[in-house]
Amino acid sequence: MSVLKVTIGALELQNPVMPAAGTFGYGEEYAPLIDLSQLGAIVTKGISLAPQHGNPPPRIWETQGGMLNSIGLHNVGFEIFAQEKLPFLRQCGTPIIVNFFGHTSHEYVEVAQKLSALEGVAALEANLSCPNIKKGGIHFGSNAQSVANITKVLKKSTHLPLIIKLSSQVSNIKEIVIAAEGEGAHAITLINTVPAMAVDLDLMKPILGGITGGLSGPAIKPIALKAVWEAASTVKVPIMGVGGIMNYRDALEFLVVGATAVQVGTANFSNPRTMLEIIEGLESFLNQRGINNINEVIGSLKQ
Amino acid sequence: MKKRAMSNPAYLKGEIIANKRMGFLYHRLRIALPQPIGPITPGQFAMLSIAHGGGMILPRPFSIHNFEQGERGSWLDFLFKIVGRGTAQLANLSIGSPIRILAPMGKGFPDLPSGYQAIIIAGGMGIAPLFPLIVSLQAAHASLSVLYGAKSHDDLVCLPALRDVGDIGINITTEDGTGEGEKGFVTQLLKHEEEKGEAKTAIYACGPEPMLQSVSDYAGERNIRCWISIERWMACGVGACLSCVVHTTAGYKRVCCDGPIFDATDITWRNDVGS
Repeated sequence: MSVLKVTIGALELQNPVMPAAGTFGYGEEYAPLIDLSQLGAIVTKGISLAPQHGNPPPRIWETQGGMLNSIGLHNVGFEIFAQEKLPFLRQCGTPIIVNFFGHTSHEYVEVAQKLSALEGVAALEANLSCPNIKKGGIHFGSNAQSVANITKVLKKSTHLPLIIKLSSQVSNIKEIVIAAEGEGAHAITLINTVPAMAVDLDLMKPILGGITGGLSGPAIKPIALKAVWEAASTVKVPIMGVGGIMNYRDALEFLVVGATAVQVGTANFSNPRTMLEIIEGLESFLNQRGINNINEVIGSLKQ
Repeated sequence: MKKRAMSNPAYLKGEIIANKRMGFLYHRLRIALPQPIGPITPGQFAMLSIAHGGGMILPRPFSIHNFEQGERGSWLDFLFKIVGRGTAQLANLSIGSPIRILAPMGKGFPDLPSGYQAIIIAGGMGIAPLFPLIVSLQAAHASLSVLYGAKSHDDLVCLPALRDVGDIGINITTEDGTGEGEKGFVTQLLKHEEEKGEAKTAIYACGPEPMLQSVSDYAGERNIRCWISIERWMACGVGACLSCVVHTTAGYKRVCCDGPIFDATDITWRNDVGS
C-alpha cells in the first residue's frame, strides 16, 4: 500500500489514517473489532502524570450533525499507561503516538520526559487544546506566546517527533502555528473539539455534567478544513487534519487543503470500521484517478 | 446461564424482520443477524445504528430483550419506548431495513447462587433486560418471583410475554392504580416478597435510577445479594470513549464494559464527583 505512504517528521506511516486522541481509548478496546495493524498510526487517549477521574456524567450528548463531550481527560495516568496499556500497543504493528497533557507547563515537561523514556512510543502529541479541563488544555494553546513557550520546553524534553495539537478557537491561527513551528514542533494537529453546550429545557439545566463540552462530528468539519488550510498555507511542517471526518471523501478534502494525515474521531463511534473503510476508499480513489502517490493530492487545492 | 465473561462483540449488518408497536410509545424490534454471535448472557446489550441516513451519528445502546441463535437463524429482540430522536427513528424502520448492530456488549447478570431464590424487580422499561433472565431462570427451574411496576396499566407492555413464560409468580404495581395489582411503586412489594420465601434471596433489578437506589438500599440494609442494570448515554460501547461512567466505590466505572450489570453495593449514587 506504498501509494498511501506519508511522512510526519521522522515518522513514516503506511497510510495517513489514524484515530483522534480520546476516541480510541488505548487501542485494546477496538482490537476485537478491527485489525489495528492496518492503521497509519494509533493515537492514544491523552495521558497525564497522575490518573484523572474526569468530569461528572452525563458526558455526551448528540446534537444536530455532531456530538458534545465533556469527558474531562479521564485517563489512567502515566504509570498505569506504561505498565498496562503500552505493552499491548507496542505489538499492534503500527506506530504509537501518545497524546499527553498537563495542568502546568512543568507537568507537560515531566510527562513528555517520562513518555520519551518508554520503549515503543513513536511520537508525542501535546494537547494544548482540550476545552474540558479547568486548568491547562486550551489555555496553553490560546496565543502564540504561550504556544511558543510550551513548544520550546517540550522540544528540549523529548527526542521523539513532537506534534502540537491546537484549537481552532483562537483569534489568529497563523501566528500560533508559526510559533509552534518556530520552536521546533515537527507537526501540528488541527483541530480539537469546539467549545459548546446544550440545555435541557425540562430541567432548565445544562445537559452535560461538566456544563460545557466540546463539539465534534460533521458539524465542525468546515471549521476544521479552514483551520487546516490556513495552517498548511502558513507553515512547512506537516499538518494532521481532524474534525468531522466520516468517510474517505471527507479525508480527501483535508488532504487537498494541505493535511498530510487525518485523524478520525466521532466516526469511530458511528462505525468502528470507518478508518479501514477510509483507507480502502483512498486507495481506490487514487487508483481510479491514476495517481500513484498520495502526496500528489496533499495541498493540491486550486485557487 | 453462562459465566460472566468479557463480551466479544461483533459488528454486523442486520435486517429488521419485525417492528411491532406495543401500545402508544412502545416498540419491539426484531433484528435478524447474518450469522450467530455470542454467547449471549441476559443483561448484555447491543449498539444499534441505522445503516442509511436518518442524520443519527451515534449508535444507541439497547438491552437484548430476547434472542435465538440456532439452525432456524439468529435474531435479537429489543423492547424500547420512544423517548427521543434515536428511538423515534428506530420505531419508524420498516421490515427489510438494514441496521448496523454491535453485539453482544457488556457483562450480563451473574448466575443465581446455588440454593437462592431470585426476586426480579422491574420498573417500566427495566423489564427489557430482565425478560431473558426470567426465561433463563425459569428454564433452569430456579425459584423465582417477578415484581413488575410501571406508571400505568398501558406501560406494562411486557406482561403478556411474561405470562407466556410459564408458571412464575408475577406481582404488579402501577403508580396510577390502573393495573391489576397494588397502586404505588414496585419497590413496596419487595419486603413482603423477600420475607415470604425461606431460601436466601438474590435480587436482580432494572428500572429508573431512584427505584434502583431504593432497591439497593433495601438489599444493602439486609445484606441481600443484589445486581442492578445501569443505563447511560454511550458513544462507543466498547470502553474507549469513557462517556458512560457511573460512580462506584472504586471511582468511575464504564457502564458499557464494566457493567451494565453491577453489584448494587458498588454503586455510590453520587454523580457530582468530578476532578
